[in-house]
Amino acid sequence: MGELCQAEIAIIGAGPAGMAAAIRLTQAGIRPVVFDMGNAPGGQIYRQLDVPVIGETLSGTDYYRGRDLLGDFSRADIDYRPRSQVWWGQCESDGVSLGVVDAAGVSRWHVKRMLLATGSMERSWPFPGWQLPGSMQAGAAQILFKEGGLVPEASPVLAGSGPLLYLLAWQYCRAGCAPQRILDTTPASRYRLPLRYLRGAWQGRHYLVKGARMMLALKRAGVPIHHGVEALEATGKHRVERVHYYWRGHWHHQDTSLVLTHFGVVPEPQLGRAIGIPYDWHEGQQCFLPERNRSLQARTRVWVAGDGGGIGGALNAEREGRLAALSMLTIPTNDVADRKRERRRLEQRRATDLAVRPLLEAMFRLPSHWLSEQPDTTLVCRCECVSLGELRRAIEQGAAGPNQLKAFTRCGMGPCQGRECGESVTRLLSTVQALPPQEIGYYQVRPPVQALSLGELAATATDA
Amino acid sequence: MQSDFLIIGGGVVGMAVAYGLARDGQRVSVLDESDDAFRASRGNAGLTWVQGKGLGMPHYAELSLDASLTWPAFAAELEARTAIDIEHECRGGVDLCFDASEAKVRQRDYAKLQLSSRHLAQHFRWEYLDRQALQTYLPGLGESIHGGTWSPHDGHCNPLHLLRALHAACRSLGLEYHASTPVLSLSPCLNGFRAATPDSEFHAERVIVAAGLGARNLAPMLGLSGTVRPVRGQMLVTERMPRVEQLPTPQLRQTATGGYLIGDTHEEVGFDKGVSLEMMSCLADRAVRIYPFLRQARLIRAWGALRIMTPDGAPLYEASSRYPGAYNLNCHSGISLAAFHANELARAIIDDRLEERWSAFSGARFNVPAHC
Repeated sequence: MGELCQAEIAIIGAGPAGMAAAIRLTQAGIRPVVFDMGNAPGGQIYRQLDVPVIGETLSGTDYYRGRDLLGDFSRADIDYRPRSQVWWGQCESDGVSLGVVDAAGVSRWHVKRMLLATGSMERSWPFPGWQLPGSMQAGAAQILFKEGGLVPEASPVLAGSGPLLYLLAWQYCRAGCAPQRILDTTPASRYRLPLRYLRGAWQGRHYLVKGARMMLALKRAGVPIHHGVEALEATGKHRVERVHYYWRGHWHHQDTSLVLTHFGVVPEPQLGRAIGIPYDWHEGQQCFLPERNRSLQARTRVWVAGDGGGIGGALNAEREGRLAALSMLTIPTNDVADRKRERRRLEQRRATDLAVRPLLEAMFRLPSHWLSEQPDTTLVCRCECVSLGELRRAIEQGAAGPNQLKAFTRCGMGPCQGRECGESVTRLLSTVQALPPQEIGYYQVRPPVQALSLGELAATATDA
Repeated sequence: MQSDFLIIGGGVVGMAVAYGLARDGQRVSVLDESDDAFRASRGNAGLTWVQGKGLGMPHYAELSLDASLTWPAFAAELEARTAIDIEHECRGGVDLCFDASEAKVRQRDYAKLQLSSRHLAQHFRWEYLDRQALQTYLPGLGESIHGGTWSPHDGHCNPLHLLRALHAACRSLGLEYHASTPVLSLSPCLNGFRAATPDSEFHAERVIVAAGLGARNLAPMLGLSGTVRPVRGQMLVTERMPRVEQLPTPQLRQTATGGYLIGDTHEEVGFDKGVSLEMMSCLADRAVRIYPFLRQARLIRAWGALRIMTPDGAPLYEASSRYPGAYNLNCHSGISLAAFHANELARAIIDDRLEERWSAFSGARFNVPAHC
């Protein structure tokens, strides 16, 4: 089984939460091991910030805010392992066992405590034609922009809901590739909600001002924005050629070769679920969140910080990382009172920062019946090509829960391991059976939670 | 509500018998557990297998052989009824041997089994093939494999499609299926039997416990034996690979969609259905020794499932002598025996002649209180 590597604390992910936690731990004399999928620290939000390829005029100021964190992280004594993936985990009485795969192969780790800082992923939101080449998620497009300075060859159509849609549109505008159109599924009336959530609006004025400025800039640049788009479809023979949208009571059409969609982000659930953390449906965020206590602890030896525990943004993630680190420091020291103060301060700032969330959640709330109103031919599982109609048939034949449905149809059995269709399936069953998503549940998540070849796994066998 | 039969368990055993009963015009209700129940039906390799079954119990070997002969007609019938492709193929199978001593023991066991029954001597066909001879059946076979026993009776299917087809067929025959309805207790009543669930009660003239590991609690309530134990099987499945004409083996097989299903382990670990790194590595190592080209294949999923094991490994078909009309069905090979369960076994239950026709599989052999 190769040699067993050991560490006091492992952190999975080097986004703002993971970085902040690691830095705080080193200040207390602990050298954590940080497993990170990326080539460099930063996570999605500060991707490529170590060697930026886009300037501040293109990225916006929030991106460059991460520089201090990145600097502290690189100076601290951290066992940082870029391009490493945790593909298996198991909670044990004396810690957590992890299977890690990197360029050198597969290794096995035993750590006493673990912090999951695996961040969020884009919510997948099926509509007819979303499987066609030329249909992509806006977050993925932004990764290409941040990492390689890449903008689309032809002007894209942006569709969906949420701040990232407008940020990307604004960034494209500044990079000289203004989108053809923004199809916003959020009704215009929702943008008046800040008037009703005054406290949240005040605490979140930074976001609101930023959003309003971007919208204004887009309007000035002549990008048409349609609020309240109710349905979406992409068509084309071998790839996207046209986008159709239902707006103000009629279907409209737009020729385009690229449609970038965004319907918010949800916590990346795979590793947390694989090690048995319970997840609960959160009505505001419209997704499952891991159960955590006030110290952000989810199991005896496991903590969850950052967007992986619930969407709160980069600043909140940083604070959560530090809070989790404080809670993970079990050895009593003489600075107990200082730590208590530090914790209180972090908790206060966090509460202030999160005050805007109910407003944002209400503004960008997605229609929960969207999926069940799509035509039967819409694919729900793109990996295994399972359509909505096929799922409906299997439900009629007796598939009463997500796991039986997966067994009956292969929905969720492909390479993405259900990340893409998991919550869609929960939502569909919830609508059909008229039960809350919490009662419907979710797939049993199986290892490997990251890609691994049979040869790599075989190399760890004892008798090999 | 009153039906003819109440079946406890919506797995592949319960649903196969339910199908046989419903097809005969019986009014059947099935009570099933929740979505995350143990469910051996969702954790098996999908083999319809004869080789190696019933070593030391020729009746079981005969049953397996006869069941395999009726599988093709059964698959065709279900497919015609539901339009669900069960992907059943019966073109033979190979059980691999990794070294000479394993090969020797295997051949001796099979020869001995054939000597013990005239039926098997006449009908059970098998042959030992060395690595060279196996190449035609298993192209790509690795250097380190010694050989294997080939038999024309073995085959495979998609066990998940089988389960779905049984559900669909039962549904079209008017069967009542109740998901997430765990049975808390079973008891006799004036017109038959009563099953208590958290929210209500179900009544039927006769009751069949097909609850897998759930029988440990439920069967004794009706004077039936619950002497089954969990055996964990871990399995791996790879990404889709180009289709190769290969016969299935119990060690691994390529499914109709192209993925390689690699299994399985037999571990006595109680009710833990997790996966362990040691066992996954071990399975992967064995798989790449069998087919070295699988080294590059991406692993898509690994999972553990709890299989049902009776004390002697053979099926348990029993009728309660204390409460006539109550039955307990439990076996390790619900896929291989599915055709038999839907046909002969369902018939024997309708006729209430289970113990008479299939006495070899009665609980009496374990000396349980069912026959006090």
